[in-house]
Amino acid sequence: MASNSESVDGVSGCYGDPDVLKVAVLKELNPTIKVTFRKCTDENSKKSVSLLLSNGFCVTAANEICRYLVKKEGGAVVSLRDWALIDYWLEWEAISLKPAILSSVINNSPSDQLLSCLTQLESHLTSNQKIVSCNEFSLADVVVWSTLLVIQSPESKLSSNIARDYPKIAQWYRSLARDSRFSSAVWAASNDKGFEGFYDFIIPSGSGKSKSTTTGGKGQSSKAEKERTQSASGLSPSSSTGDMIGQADIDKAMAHWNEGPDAAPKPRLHSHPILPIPGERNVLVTSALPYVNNVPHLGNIIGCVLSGDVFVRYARLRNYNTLYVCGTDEYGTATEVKAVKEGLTPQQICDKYYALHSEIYEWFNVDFDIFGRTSTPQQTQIAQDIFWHLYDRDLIKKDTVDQLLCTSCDKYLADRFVEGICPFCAYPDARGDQCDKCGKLINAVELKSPRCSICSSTPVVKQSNHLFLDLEKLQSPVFDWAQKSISEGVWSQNAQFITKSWLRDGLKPRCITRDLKWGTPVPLEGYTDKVFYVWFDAPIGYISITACYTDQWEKWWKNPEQVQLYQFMAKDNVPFHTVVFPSTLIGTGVDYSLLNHISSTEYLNYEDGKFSKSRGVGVFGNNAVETGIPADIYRFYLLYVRPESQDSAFSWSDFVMKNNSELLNNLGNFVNRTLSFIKSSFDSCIPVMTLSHDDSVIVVKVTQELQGYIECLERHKQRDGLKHILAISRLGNGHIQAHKPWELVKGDKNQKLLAGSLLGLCANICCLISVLLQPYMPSISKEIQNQLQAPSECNIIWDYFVPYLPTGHKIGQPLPLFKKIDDATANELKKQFSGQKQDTGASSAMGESSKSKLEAELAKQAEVVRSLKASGSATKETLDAEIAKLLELKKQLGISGASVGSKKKGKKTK
Amino acid sequence: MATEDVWEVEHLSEFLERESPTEEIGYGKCSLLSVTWYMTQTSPHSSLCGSTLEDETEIRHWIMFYLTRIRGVLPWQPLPREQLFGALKELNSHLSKRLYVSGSGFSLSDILLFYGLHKILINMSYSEKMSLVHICRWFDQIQHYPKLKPFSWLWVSCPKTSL
Repeated sequence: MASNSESVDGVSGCYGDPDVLKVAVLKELNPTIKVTFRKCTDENSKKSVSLLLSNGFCVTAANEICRYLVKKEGGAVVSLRDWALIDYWLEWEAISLKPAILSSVINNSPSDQLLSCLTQLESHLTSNQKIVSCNEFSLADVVVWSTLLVIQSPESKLSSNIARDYPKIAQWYRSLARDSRFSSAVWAASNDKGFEGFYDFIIPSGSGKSKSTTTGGKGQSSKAEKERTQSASGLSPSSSTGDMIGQADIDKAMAHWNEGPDAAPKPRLHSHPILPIPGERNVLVTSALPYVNNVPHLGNIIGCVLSGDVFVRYARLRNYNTLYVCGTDEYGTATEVKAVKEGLTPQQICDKYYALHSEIYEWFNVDFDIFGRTSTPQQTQIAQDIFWHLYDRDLIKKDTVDQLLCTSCDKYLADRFVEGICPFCAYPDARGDQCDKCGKLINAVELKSPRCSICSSTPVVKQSNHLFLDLEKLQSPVFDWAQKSISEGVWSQNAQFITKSWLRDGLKPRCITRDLKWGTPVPLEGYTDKVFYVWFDAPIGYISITACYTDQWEKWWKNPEQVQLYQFMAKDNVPFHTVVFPSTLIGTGVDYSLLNHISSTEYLNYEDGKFSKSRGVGVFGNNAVETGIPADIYRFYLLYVRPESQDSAFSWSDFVMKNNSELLNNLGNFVNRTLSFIKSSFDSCIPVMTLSHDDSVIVVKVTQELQGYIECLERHKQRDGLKHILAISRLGNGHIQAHKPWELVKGDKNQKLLAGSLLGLCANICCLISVLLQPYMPSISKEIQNQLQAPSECNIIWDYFVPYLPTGHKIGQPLPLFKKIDDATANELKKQFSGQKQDTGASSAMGESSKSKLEAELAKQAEVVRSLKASGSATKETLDAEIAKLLELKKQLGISGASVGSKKKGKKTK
Repeated sequence: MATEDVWEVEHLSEFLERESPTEEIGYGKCSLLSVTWYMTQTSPHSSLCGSTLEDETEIRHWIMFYLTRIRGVLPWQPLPREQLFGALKELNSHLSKRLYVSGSGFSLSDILLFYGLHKILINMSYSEKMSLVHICRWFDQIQHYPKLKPFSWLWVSCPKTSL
């Protein structure tokens, strides 16, 4: 398009072109801009405004030309944010306003689109002096003003519209028109003709000033005019909301609908043991192992096992060959401590709590293929095998570590069992891993005046020999692996960020052993009295639990070509899964299946605070059963508020609202009314379905939601997936409302047919919903399918929406799916879990006086213990008895004898 | 906001490794260019907006070309076939001399045109694609770019040709 007469950085355009007016105004503000005007009287010479850049490219997008000229000039500094605002209005002008104005001028009557634009602008100018206020006015003002000029022309009937209906626009327009630079530009750009020049440019020459025909720009109009009013299709009188979908979309969707379910894949039946099948999509899913000692709360549950469950159920419905592995993480200090407290062995504690976890997840309908434990012989065997591989490849370093040993308890103290004065801020109750006051990370040995948090005696610093995994040597291969995995897989944002930070900071050797009794024993001579540290050991649990499931576990875990590993967890577990564990496996030199995809959630809070077992705040797994609200409703709400990109909170009032609005009034209502209608008016049989145009539009929209759902679940956007299901149900409800089948069935034969088709379609939508809902609410899904008497083949999620319920299929008995939860119940539940201790009992009778009495006793007892230890004269039994008394007093006051139990499952310090 | 915009913005957010800007600038109808431009500039991949003013202008020119000549006024009301094909022919001829849409290399214009043209190309017959052979060549190249596509991508088969 560049002609010889154009110069570099020079704009060329036709007189009377509103786009040229824009440039003319800019030239008034900055005389260095070069503009060449052309006279263009016949249609074929009316080319668009153009700018030739120094790189040879010729720009014809008018607003981009203006933007270039303004930016080139420099001048006043405009922030990135202001540019974004200006850009918004430039885009709006080019895409919405200009075409609307062109067609309105040609037809001499304001189009709906023009009115909508003007309304939008009017509203914006009501709270803004200028479109974008930078200095006196911005490029956005110039551009919009220039385009609006032509409808301000007296020739146009539209100018009176503006003055009357859009006073703010009129006011703004006048304020700029009074500026001499603007008025000079108008003359310059129109070859001194003024308004008339612009008007003439738009109206095709020779067709008279005002066209009376209704459709402009179509049919016999010239090519040039077509190009100028290219978006005149916005004016087409047949446009209604129904035409928003393209014909191609309808044809495509209906082709699949008509082909029916025969074209769809059939659900695959799985039998245990599930093993990878070469050539298929083999999906290995793990959820972070919950720490056995803690009763899981709703936040723990949504963070891992429930998220994993949704994906696994979805994957099975897509016919992926799927295995879901999880279990309790049982080794570690906390279990040892709890065992002593409850007077049991660690193994007994684990047995007790494992059963609790198992029960809770079963109640929540979590469908593990195996829910195992880490305290098994397989764990020892596999962990030691991995260790030996690392040792043989020279990746194990020996070193000594300064540790605090409490001589009276005869225990090496883990960081959180040491208290003392913070070396940074002098807070007297800092704990050994982090100071609660200033938040700095510290090593227990750095504490001033350290004391054992169990018996308060001063621990001694001992050097202990430990083994280290030399991650420094693995920095490079781990980095390469991480890059590849992130680019090829689906990694949640926070996981990417955390991993990159760890890798960027550089990997240091990490200690992998501890002086404890309860754990996987270290097989190396000289270290056999030690166990593996939990963060080395626990992820190996995924492998050993699989080994407990099948002895062919290597087909899953040593098969990266065929297997895709998906891991679900909360964000605090991320580095151990994305850096430490892969390093361990890479270090062995064995071809293990490594992490491909990770979905890590943020935190779920409870009402205005956090979950707390000790204070009785929040709903814990075992409580949920007692509330009488079904598990699927909890699942629904937790997934609705799943903390994906930021923290979220469980709120009872919101829970009740979602149940009543989304479940009862939207989803439940749709299914129930559809089925009830079919029962009453069509004798419980699916009617003949000859889909109308409107019906097929619904098919297209449902298909779009379905494809969106698939997309979301593949990318672990489970909240959004749920919203797609609710959108489908809303489409169904809306369709019924719009067509009123209850009236149609009373009409003539044709109307009855319409009603029948509509309801048949809706029944099939219910069937689709039941399948899509299965990952979220498996019991409800089953119930819907039961009420539909749906064939089991429908349990497949395919890319297209096809009818599984044919004409004549008999449905079952419609029943309400959900129950309303009233406000009274909601308030009761909220109170029950708010941590305010319920009435009676010695605990509430504990007034201030008895509390201080206990505190005095505690101080006395602590002194007794200290002096006994100091004197060295007491026997072990006596000492133990006095320590037990001390612990009991602490318990009564609610002070933890050891700071056990971080809220986050499985997390250990360091 | 047109449903299509949300799709493009969400995908772009992931590709650019940043959050979707819901509050930063108004998400309104017809703001695809301004939203994605702002997002890209404030992301680690701001070079996709061009490094010189010239590049920037050319990239934006092509995005506007797509929005006004291919996508249409209202994203869900398709343009008359003749007009659409006229625009596509222009784009095709432009791409006959180019590896990427903009002279400065892979940019935001490639990404948005890629997302936008998928819907059109996927429904085209072989012979129609043969008449737009350079668009197909370019599209196939971008199609193989890792990380740009959603998981459930429907691959567009492109007739083979050379630049």
